[in-house]
Amino acid sequence: MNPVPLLKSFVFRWPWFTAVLMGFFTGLSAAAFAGENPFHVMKIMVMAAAGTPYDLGMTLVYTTPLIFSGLSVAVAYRAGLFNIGAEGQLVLGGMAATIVALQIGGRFPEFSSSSSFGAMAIGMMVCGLAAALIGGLVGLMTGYLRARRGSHEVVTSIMLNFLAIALTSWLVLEKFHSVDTQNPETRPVGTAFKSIAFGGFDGAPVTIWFVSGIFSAVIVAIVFDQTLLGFRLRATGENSEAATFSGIDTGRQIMIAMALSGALAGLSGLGDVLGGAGRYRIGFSSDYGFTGIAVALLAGGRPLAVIASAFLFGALHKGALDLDFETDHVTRDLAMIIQGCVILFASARWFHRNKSS
Amino acid sequence: MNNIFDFEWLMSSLRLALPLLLTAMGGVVCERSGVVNIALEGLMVVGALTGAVIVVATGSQPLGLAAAFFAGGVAGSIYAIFVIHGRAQQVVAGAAFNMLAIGVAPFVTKALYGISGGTPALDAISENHDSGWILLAWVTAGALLSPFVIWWILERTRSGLLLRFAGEEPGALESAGISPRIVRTCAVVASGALAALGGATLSVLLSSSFARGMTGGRGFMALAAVIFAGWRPMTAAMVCLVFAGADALQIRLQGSEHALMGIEIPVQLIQALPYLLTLIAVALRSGVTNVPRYLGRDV
Repeated sequence: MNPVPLLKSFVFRWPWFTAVLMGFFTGLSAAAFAGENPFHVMKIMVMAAAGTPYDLGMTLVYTTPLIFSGLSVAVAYRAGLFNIGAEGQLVLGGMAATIVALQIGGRFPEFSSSSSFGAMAIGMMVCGLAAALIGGLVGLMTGYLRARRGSHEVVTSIMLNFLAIALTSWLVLEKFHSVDTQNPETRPVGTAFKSIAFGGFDGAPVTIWFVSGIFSAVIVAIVFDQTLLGFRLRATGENSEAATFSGIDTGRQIMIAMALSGALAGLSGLGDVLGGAGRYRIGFSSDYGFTGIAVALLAGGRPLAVIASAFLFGALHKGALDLDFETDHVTRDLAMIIQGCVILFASARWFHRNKSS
Repeated sequence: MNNIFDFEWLMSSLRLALPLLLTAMGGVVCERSGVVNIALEGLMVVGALTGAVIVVATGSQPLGLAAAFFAGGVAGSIYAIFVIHGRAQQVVAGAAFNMLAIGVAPFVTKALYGISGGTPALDAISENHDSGWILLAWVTAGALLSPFVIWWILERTRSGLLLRFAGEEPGALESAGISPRIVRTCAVVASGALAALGGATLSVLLSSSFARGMTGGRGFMALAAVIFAGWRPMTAAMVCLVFAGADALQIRLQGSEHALMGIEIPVQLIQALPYLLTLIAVALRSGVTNVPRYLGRDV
């Protein structure tokens, strides 16, 4: 049997898998070039990502925001848009949830400090709504500028990212700064707003938001595949002219898609803000919004594939953290290299049957 | 707040305009050929890093700038392989290229100097104080002249005509027996070299080392300037000068406290000024005209 056609059929059937392999190969080659044994590097990363229940838990903690931000980018992507603004939307969403929790805590201290299941459920809903609303509004703004003013969403959302970071750091440092610490963080939120965490991961704060992320992916998948709204969004993304001719207001779809995308991005930070830390910390997001782009693209914009893709990049992120002190020549930045290469290879159409984009 | 728009502000605007201007010219060249270039930011990182590394190794600033220009061409050709040969979705590949460049920079400094934060300080500036300033003056003059050169190439030469055809009507180019993909590749390589030179001015001329995150979104601002200017080199240059003016103002205002009509202006707002200005500028300009017809489309 000739192995070449076999290999070809494999490559063309799963182009994303080939992209992952090529990305890891390039990244590990770079590590070898820097003087590390690539197998050793890979072993460190696998052990750091899933070696103990705690490590696996931390991988899931990093996966949680990536599911949301990946879904956010995927929703926009399917509607033919590129949401590079997820980073800004997620810090604003996290900030909004924190402010709401702190304000309610100030007015109703007994509710805020309660740890009954009912109070926690209400706390989660209220914070989730606030985060989704603010993220959605920022997304809607980008969508409006794109649909009605013709400004490219990439440029506007990048600028909104910088503005969001400036705004949140002002809010944290000047308005809600914690009195008992010098760290750039807000006061802690009440127990009712702390997310329910799962045991079994040796203290790694895997929260209810992880489950919500998977749940959201299922909902987004249903919306896209089974509803009229999903059809309109996909039609706008796949052939905007044809969609216009068949009577779809594509401008409206663009605004809806960006608002949805922003709302999902707004929820990304909650696992960290309300779960792990219980307060808003400046710089809590290690580029979750930007990694969301990688997550969504590797998943080809498919909501359910986003879960797997988010897990891969979550594991990559967690795995690379140990490189800083377990190796002499490479750092955690190797994750960025691998990630960039994976996406470059996934976006190129060498491994696709249908060569046109 | 007595006159902040003085001669010193003007000079610092000019200096800050350097990286933006050169990068924006790279953006014009690339986008007019029909290739979206989100990767400008990453290309700037490549240039800033290469420039600093070469200056550390040789002590020569001109050599650093030249090496950055060359490395940018190489990086641009990598980007071109993916977007033109690999037919990658251009915005996606550009974003991925940025990740790669941002990841590679600390990787290289770690391998060379054992630190992941940046390069050691370049002492070329302090040693040859005068020659440093002369070089800065020359590069500034060159950068200010570059929009005219790019305009002349685009509008008055055969290569410019081919480049514009690749972006507007690649089919016509093909009928004439010229491959639009080759033309685009050349444009992307040139754009990489220009953007990297822009990045190198940051590390070699404007500060004295390469540091993580030093480009600070300037590649995106240059891109915003290009789009805002309707892909016209001279307009783009003027927009860059305005952005740089806002940036210079921002740096000046940071040191002291300011109040407007009795309300204190937070320092974060002042820092965000250039970004706010860009956003407002892009938002106010409704219905971008003059878009290259095949921008972002495969040929």
